[in-house]
Amino acid sequence: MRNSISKMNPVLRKLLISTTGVLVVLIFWGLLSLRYHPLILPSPYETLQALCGLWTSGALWTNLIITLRRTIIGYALGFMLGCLLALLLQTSKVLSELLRPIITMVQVIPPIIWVVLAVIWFGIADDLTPVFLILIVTFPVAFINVFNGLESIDQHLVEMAKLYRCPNRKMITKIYLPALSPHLVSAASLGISLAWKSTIFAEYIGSSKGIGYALSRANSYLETDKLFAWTLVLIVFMLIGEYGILQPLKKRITRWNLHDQHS
Amino acid sequence: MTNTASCLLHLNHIHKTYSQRQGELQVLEDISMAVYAHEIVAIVGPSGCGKTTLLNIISGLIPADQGEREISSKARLAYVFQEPRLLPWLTVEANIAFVQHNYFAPAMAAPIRERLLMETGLWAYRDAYPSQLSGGMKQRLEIVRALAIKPSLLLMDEPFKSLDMALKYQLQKLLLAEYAREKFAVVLITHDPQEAVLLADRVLLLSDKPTRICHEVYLEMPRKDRTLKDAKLYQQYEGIMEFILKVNE
Repeated sequence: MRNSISKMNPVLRKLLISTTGVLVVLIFWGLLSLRYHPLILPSPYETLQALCGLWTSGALWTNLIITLRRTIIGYALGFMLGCLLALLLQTSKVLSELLRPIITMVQVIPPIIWVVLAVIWFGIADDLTPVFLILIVTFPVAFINVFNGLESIDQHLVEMAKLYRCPNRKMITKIYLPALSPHLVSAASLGISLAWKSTIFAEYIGSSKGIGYALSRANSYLETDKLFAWTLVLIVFMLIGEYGILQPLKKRITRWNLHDQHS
Repeated sequence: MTNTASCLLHLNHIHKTYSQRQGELQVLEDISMAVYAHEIVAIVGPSGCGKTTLLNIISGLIPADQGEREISSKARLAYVFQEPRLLPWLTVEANIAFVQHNYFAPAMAAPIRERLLMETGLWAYRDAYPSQLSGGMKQRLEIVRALAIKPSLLLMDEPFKSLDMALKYQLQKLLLAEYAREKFAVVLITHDPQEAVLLADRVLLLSDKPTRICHEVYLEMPRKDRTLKDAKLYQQYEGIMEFILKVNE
């Protein structure tokens, strides 16, 4: 058995092992749910039923689209702001010394404080609260990754390109962007999961629409099966984002980083 | 060689000092030299005397503190760095095309690149990334990239260092063949006196820091006839060797 698994196609092997892990969790959850009331721990079947209910009522797609839209807008803004600040601070040492402590301060303030402030400033039932929280939570992540990426660009390569009269546009596309791309993907990967969690959090506290709000309602009405169903939706979407989009993207842009085959 | 019209590069009383934690370190002191079209100038000196600094000043990568650097407006510089500076995200062929396209149209660049790749045995690896190449292959690629722009002044910083004998011989042969074909000038940094007397027209001998040019050795024998079995050449080789040993003491 051990031999036949190790001889398997690596992709199939990885899939089999990951699926086994998920199945073990499902079985464990199913067995545990037999011992508790559905109000405390609904079974996987009851969760699936609640999910079907959300699907047929249309609540699933309505809330999912709202949450997704807020996440994308907030994250895009946070990512752009982080990149812009990184570029700006790289060009000026004074600006860097002036703004870096402020960025660190923003980063260490707990998200709950930002949500409370956002509710005071922008009110409930608005897109602004979640978008503001995502922006404030994700821009330092993008900033730090891009700033470090810019600092780690090999100046020897820049010198070489200048010596060979490489025009500025080509320097950006052939040196700066490829050198930065692993840092950009890393920023995207870290930031998107933060953004997703922040949207839910902000919607839970300060919104009247979206998955976070639906979770808050399910909690208030003690609909634990719906709570689990929404959590399942969140997990599936995070996994699609990470393994369906970000991991293949990371693999594609760092395909040149192969192991030395002639050592 | 003294015809000013064919002078590609002229350094006039160059000084260079680096600031260190312990104070100032004077690296180059009053260096004056010229490089003429279609000549190979070898620069020999003890380790750490500032040979790479001198080459970087010649190339314009770093400025001198004092003195003048005059370079012909027609000069097209290429630089073979001591440690290959290849773009890791581009393939072998794309690394060469990256610099070539700054000088030639793609249609003109491709045949030059292909010929050089074939002559250096890198053709089979044209789609490989630098991380898939051995150290010797990377150095070969660095040399091919420099030659592929058809330079008028080729700067080489210990290009054959840490290569095995066979590869070193093969690359020196390639350099001389291209030199004969394209008639460029070469400034070659080396600490191998044998390499200097077999390849160069002139050898500049540098002192230890603060570095000055101490001697200039002219090698007049046709390059194809050069062998260390020749008494005059051997004497020049020994002279350079003695100088290096004396400076290193």
